[in-house]
Amino acid sequence: MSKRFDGSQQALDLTSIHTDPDLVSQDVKVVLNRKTNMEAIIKIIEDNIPQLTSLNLSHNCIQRLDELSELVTKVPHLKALNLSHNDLKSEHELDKLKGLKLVELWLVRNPLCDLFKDPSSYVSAVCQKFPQLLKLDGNDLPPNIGFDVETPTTLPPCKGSCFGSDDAKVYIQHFLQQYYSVYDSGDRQPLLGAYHDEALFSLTTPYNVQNPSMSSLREYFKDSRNLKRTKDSTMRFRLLKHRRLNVVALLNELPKTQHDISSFTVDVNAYTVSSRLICHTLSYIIFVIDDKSKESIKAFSRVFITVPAVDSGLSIINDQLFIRMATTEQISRAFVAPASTPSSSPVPTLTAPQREMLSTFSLKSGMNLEWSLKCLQDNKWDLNQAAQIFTQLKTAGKIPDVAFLK
Amino acid sequence: MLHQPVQRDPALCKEETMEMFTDSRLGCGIGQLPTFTWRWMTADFRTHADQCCRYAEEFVNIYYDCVDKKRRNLTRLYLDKATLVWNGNAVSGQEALAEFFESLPSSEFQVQSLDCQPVNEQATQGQTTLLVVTGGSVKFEGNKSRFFNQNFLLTAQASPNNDQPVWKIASDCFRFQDWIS
Repeated sequence: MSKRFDGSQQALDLTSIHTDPDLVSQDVKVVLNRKTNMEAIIKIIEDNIPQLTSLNLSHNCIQRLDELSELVTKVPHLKALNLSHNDLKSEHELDKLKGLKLVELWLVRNPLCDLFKDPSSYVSAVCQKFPQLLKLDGNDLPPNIGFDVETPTTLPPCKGSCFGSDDAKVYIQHFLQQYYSVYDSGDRQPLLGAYHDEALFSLTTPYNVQNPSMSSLREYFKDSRNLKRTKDSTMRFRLLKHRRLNVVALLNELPKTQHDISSFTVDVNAYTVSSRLICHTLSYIIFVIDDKSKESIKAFSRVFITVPAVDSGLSIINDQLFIRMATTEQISRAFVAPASTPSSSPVPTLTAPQREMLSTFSLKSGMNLEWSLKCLQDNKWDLNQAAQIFTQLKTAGKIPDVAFLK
Repeated sequence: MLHQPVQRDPALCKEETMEMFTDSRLGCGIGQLPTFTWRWMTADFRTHADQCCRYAEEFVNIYYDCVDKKRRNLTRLYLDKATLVWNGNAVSGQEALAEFFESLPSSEFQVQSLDCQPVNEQATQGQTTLLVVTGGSVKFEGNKSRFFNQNFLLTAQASPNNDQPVWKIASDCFRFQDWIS
């Protein structure tokens, strides 16, 4: 392709590339009417000559400009484009190139040119799409008198995780590793230890209006809290899970998962040292549900707000999960990097002896984990004292039935 | 204690009004909403959660209208020391925010999902705080339309121009959904 590139003019001439003798002799046929071929050409331009100002694509049987719409962002300096002698059938194809600041354009010998009743309606239709155009099919046009309203069109570059401080990074990475090792373990009950007594949880998923039952997100629909759709206040309240027992009960019902921790992007948007309030957003973590088929790969964004736990580690007070389909590119990159070794401790914030004590106490008292944990914490993990207090309160009838619900 | 009955303190349920984003110069169609002052555990949680939903709905209307049409006024919705993390770019403070918003191409936001949760006052040292989470699509001028997720922490602040508190954005986090690390 370098033979067809003129560096001094930043011009690339791809006229009838499908009949190029060099390519044909090597049995390479570049057909620009094929999506993949056109995409490949655009990729080459983007990677090698993004400063391109002139592109000639004449005599290539091009019917559609869908792929070429990428030029608007990828080759922003393009000034001259030759599309003559192609097979463009409608002026609407040109809309896909809107945004290019073209000064010269060739369209002659395309079916769309014959659709205009006279030359002036042709010129005015094209100029409407490319107001800076000075030459159409080689003919000079009256210069366009514009307005001095230069507006920015470049977005700041997207960057990776934003932890804010190394301190927060260590805390959060440790927390996430522990949290997701339990979350993916098949039994999410131990996550009780990761949530604050008064924790709140809700999840949202985009709703596929066309075919909700076919969507692979359907398992999440019934729990989806989207205030744009859910207007009923009773329903809104029901979908907001309050207190860790309810939170973990719902988490337990959600489909089994396997997370690709290497795909995590973490943004820490609030980190207060004094109260140790941490709000961070996990973005675009990819996870699979049950089977390994590509269709089941999802992406999500999740906001955790945490405070320090009583003993150590973090305790979640707010948890909002947004689940959606992953993009094709995200799917292709998922689970490529070797997964990091999960932490050995399955319960965040609870030590191994504490977990053991918790299950013993729950078994003996008959209370569920939530209430057993509370009682043990209230008695500073003294099993005998907790048992004593429990017996006293039970005899006095002061323990509510909810404590025994499992 | 294992079990403490939750009691409602009538003094905490006194009805009063709380105005949102009170600065009328913003011209953002501000209304007054009746509300309850509340305190975690003691006041009626359901009433509070319900109220938060209405604040969140009003907030997204005002916020995205401001981003799309009145960008100059946008920083007024933020705290002086607010932080923004925009696709991994950290920006903090009113001045830096104003500069950042100016550099962004003009936008057309469409919010398709919204959720909110009150944040426990234990975590915020008594500050009334609200978590608002949004999702949808955005078309920035000169760029193709993309899906995004965004979340805000709103905190109720005393307003110098008004007797009643106003909601201000303490932190804001924005990402495109098609981002790949």
